[in-house]
Amino acid sequence: MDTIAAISTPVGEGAIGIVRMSGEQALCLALRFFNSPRISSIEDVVPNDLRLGTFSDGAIKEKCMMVYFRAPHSYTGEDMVEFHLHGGSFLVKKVLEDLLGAGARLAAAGEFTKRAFYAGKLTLDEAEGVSAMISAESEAELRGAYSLMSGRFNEKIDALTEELTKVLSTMEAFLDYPEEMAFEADDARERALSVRDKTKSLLASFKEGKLVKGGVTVAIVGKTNVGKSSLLNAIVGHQRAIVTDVHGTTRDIVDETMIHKGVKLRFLDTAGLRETQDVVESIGIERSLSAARGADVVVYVAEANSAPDEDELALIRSFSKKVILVSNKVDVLGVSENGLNVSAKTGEGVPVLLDAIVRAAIGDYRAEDALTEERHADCLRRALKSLDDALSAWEMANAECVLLDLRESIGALSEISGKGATERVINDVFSRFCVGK
Amino acid sequence: MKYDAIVVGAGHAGVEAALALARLGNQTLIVTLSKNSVSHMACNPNVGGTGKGHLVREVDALGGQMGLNADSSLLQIKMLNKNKGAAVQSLRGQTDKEVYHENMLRTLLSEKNLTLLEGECEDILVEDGKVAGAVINGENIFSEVVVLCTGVYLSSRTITGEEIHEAGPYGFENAKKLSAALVAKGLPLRRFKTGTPARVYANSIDYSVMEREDGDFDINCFSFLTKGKLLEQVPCYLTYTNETTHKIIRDNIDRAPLYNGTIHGVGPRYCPSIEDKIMRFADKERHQIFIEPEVKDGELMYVQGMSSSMPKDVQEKMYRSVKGLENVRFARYAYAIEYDCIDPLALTPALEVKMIKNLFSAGQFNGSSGYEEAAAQGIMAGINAARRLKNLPPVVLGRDEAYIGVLIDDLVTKGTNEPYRMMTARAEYRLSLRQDNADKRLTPLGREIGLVSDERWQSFLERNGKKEAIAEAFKIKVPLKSVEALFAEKGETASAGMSIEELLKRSFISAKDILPFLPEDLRDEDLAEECAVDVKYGGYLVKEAAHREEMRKMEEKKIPEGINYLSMPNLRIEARQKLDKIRPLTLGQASRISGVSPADIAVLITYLVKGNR
Repeated sequence: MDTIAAISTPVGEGAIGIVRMSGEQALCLALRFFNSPRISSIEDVVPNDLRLGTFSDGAIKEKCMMVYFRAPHSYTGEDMVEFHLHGGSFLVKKVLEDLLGAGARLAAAGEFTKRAFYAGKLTLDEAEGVSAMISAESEAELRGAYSLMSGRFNEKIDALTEELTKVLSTMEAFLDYPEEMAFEADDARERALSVRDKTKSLLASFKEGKLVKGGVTVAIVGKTNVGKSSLLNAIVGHQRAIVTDVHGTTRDIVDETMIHKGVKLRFLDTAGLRETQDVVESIGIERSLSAARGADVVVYVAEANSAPDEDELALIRSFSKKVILVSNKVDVLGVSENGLNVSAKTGEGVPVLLDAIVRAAIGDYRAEDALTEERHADCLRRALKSLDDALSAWEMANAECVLLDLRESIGALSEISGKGATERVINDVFSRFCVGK
Repeated sequence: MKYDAIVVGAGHAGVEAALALARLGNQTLIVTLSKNSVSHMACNPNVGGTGKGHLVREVDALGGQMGLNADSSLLQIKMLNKNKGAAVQSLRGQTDKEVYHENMLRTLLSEKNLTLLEGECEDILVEDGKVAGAVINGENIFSEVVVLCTGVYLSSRTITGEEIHEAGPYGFENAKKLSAALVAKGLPLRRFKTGTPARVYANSIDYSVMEREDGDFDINCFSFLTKGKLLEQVPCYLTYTNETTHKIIRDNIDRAPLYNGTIHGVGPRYCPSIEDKIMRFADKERHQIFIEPEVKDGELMYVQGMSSSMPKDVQEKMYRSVKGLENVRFARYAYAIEYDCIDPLALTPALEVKMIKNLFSAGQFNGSSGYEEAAAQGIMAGINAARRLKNLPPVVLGRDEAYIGVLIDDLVTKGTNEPYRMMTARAEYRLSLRQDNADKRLTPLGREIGLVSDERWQSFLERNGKKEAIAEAFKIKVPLKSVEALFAEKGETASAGMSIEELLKRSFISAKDILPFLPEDLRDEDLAEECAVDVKYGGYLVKEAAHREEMRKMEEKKIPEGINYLSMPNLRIEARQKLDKIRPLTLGQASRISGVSPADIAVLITYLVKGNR
């Protein structure tokens, strides 16, 4: 059995969140991210021992507890690992996502229970409880799926599935009707390549979707005294009613969060950039640059009467981020040809800037366009993996072998829409090709 | 009069069911409207084809008759997809349809325990929800089990343009009373449609302008018991329709029963009529027409690809517009046929009708199409009827064990809205379910069931033992010098010695190439080739096995018979109704029902746990 993972505490803000895995690879995958002073290899892990350590993936580094249950002494009867994390949906989801990225598969509703059943582990009491839970879970899932399926996302998935169906049906028709298919052109590989590319970009849109849930980080950068702090105040002041304060961990960067058009924006006001001998200030500047590098969007502020010089332009380019150039103080200095015209003092141009930030972060984003559900991303990831396998074997292997991978791929895509893959392919064979005696 | 079993119908399903029952020691009566229609090939004069060839081999491996009977009447044999992978290679044999019929009739007549009766089955006898016999020509004949294999004969009618006959195929009588009797007993019947092309006189065809199509002379026949190759073969011929043909059809489309509302039955997409092809694929410039012999040195030819229900005068114009058929004379016109059959969702995986105990069914009556699909169900219905007589549990083949398993599972779990045809695309474990290993997959089971004769069993043990020895010998190391010499022939270079198995993993190395490296007594090219398939598929077989293992787990969990789905509160209504209708035997089968989600299965599981306490 493959290794499955899922969040097993209710989604949302809570004191702790638990992510669990079940399957042969559970411990192995866990140790790719979990570090503890007492654990240096897989042999050091003591079953049933709740151990404090850190979960790190390069981007996050989070204190948490891990516990390992060795097969068959676990709920599912398989090797299991649980991570007990600080609550908050972002963190818990990030951990899940890391585990899925490393090779676990997202558990279907009731799948842990199913495995427990196969292993003969489920007791009568549990059975009664879980059946109600699964049915609620699956209903919520259906509702979630429905809302997602109603939008353009649905169309994109359908289009991908349809294209892949054509690839499969062409190849299957060749195998099942060898005498009649002699004249049909074989462009299956090109089609498969195009499906792969589209699957990739849909997965990328998943990242954009995630920004909406996790929030967009915006660094306000610029020389000293160009009005960065006033700009932040103008932004925050403009939306004062829905501003929430988030206490920063670093005292030198001011951190404010607000919501614009449904997207959470987290602003980092940074120290002004300039040549300095002051050690403290230069540390501040270094932090500003690093904040800019870590942000999703950089707002670079200059004064309306002076275009950015060569050094500034080079700096902007070095961020390799989406950068919005802002000319401040237009109320005093007059209109500028460079970037967005804004007056932090009068608030002029601020709404336009906010729109621009959202657009820069996530494009012309509409909630129903993006892929926001991890389940769908999981299906797409598996579809992509199988497509890659198929494409790399294409020249070397026989069609029926390549089809094994392609079938897996279309199977994963079909999970999203819930329509059977085999029927779909066979229907397509007969609607597109004139075969049969 | 009293028998253990009555089989209604002696077509390709009925004969396998009857032979299985009789060979398993049961007094069996087989009823047919006419002796002349026993194993009649009402459509194409050939056996096998993609996916179907697999079925024939599997029926043979279990101890059925179809493979042997086809081999005894072969005119030509071909391996389809010969240049593709082993898993999608299928045998197709042209047969002499008269010899095919005669040989099968002789087999039936010489089988002890088996009685052949000419007559019409008008009703079945049912007592307390259990079958008790059948009414044949007004007379009650009693039996413990009945197997319905009525083919396309139930209230059938044939249609050629405006001409409609209440008749069976090829001018045979139809069964007039049974449909109504079955409906009265509550069986869900429905109407399907199929069709066949014209039979024309061989001496009115100009073969010189057609392409000659020969068979393969270096391949084995259908049955694992048939030794040697078919050295004398009869050719087929290939020609094409053209724009004139298409215009004739388009100009007369309002006279086509398929398009003017005369035909109501649902036809198979797998066997479209020529008018369907022209109307649906308007941009296709030509369609293939194969001319196939009906009998050896005979006068009639079958025109494959020109199935139609057009009026006779249109048919004449259509056919005569085809190159080589300009002066063709008709012996029999093409026709469509409509018939009654059952919704297979009303059947268990053992092919027993759920609402009437001990009533089994097989073949086109179950909504399938094709001789091979019929034979495959026939042998399983026969086996399971025989096991019921002895109070043994049914034999249900898994989707990972046989195409037969895929076929029956599809029918009884997913149902079908058109005559169902086997395709390799339907088999998810295609790489493992090959025609070359059908005996390894099924002959031990057939032996256990009791259908595999001593002769077949000995032959299997010998063949299988040799294959195992060859597979073992693949570990032999071949020295660098020999590898170099072999690679040089192929324009490749070698740098090290390697095992035979490693050699075979190269795409340019065939079984024939490694023959000299095998011990002398194992140098059998056919068997080496079959063993090499497992090596060549290698990693893909591993991948398939992983999926298989997962499916097996679900398949092993049986669902108790009397379970009440309708009262499971946490199950969605749709799932409750579907499960209640289909009543799956295992969790695996339940999970394949359309409209039953993985979450529904998880909910179902929790009830199974409770049920077990």
